[in-house]
Order: sequence, then structure tokens, then C-alpha cells
Amino acid sequence: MLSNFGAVHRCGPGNSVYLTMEIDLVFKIAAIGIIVSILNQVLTRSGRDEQATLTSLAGLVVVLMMLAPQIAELFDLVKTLFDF
Amino acid sequence: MELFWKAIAVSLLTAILGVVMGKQNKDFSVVLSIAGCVLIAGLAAVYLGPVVHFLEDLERMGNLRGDMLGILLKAVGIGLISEIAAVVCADSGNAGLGKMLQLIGSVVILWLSIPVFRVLLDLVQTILGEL
Repeated sequence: MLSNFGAVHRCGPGNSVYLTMEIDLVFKIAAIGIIVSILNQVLTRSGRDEQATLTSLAGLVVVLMMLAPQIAELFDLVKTLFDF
Repeated sequence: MELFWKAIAVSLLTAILGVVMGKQNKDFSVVLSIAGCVLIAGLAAVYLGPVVHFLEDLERMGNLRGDMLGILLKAVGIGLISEIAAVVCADSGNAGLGKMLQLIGSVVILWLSIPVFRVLLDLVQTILGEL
């Protein structure tokens, strides 16, 4: 099953990090990307280039906001794992 | 071993989705690539945990100095993170930025290992003094 990547990492005695990453994140990003692409095409064809750019930007910001906690989690994991 | 197959599946899936999306929207393709890298790096950490624990056991058994192993582990961590960031930069078309990240990673590792070199120097001085 690819739905859950939750894993426990043991880093020395009494020192554990919980990493909850899921494949859903990749699917969510792909779905948002496809939706934004379609919106972009529609808005561009209807002559609303500014709104198309803003939609693309908004989609990118949403996706980055979804991804940022995961990156922070990875950094925390590496910090704990390698005794930073 | 199951996680290894999962990592392969994730990388293939991310690559396919990235190729499909890259035609329409390059920005999302880069973000997707970052997400895939983060996922697979997290999976790699699952296997690294027991290795680090084993190294700590070896250190305890051999009565080694704790700070030396700490420096080595930090160097591995910095290398891992800088490599991931460099690969993502190279994927997004900023190969120069990636090279610079690798450079700063190497320099930080060198800076971290100064105490190890100092201990080695002291050891050499001690050995030479005893001759």
C-alpha cells in the first residue's frame, strides 16, 4: 500500500522522531497543477492574461504552503538523526 | 525492504506526473520533484536510523570520544541535505546554484572537522615527541 508512509525513526536511546509523510501529497500537488493549468488555459484564451498569471501564482503558493511543513519535518528528522 | 520498493514506486510515479505536468506548467513540475525528493529522503532516513544507532553502540563498546562520532554524523547529515537541495536546484534548471550548495556543504563539513584534524595533529606531535 502506497497510501501511508508513516514511519518511526529511532535515533539513539530514548530519542525518537515521528515522520508522517504520505504519497497523497504528490497526488495533491499533481491535481492542483492540472487544475491550475486548465484554469490558466481558459483564462488565457478568454483574454484575461493577468488573471491567468495570478491564478498560476496562487496555485504555486498553495502548493508551496503544503510542501513547506514536509520539508521542515525532513530537516528536523535529519537534525535529530545526526545529533545536530 | 518493503520501503525500498515503495521508494522506487514513488520516484517513478513522481517522474511520470512531472513529465505530464511539465508540458503545461513547469513550476508545478519542480514542486512535484521537491515533494518526491522529500518523501524518498524520509524513507532513506528510516534505514539510516538503525545504522546510526549501531555506530553509537560501536562507540560505546570501543570507549571512543563522543564528540568525534558526533562530528562524523553531522558531516553525513550536512552532506545529505546539501545533496538533496543541489539535486532539486539542478532539476529546476539552476545547476550553478546546485554546485554552489555542494560547495558550501563541503566547506561546512571541512569547518566541522577542524577538531578532528586538531586531535590528529596533537597525536602526531605526541608520537614525534616520544621518539
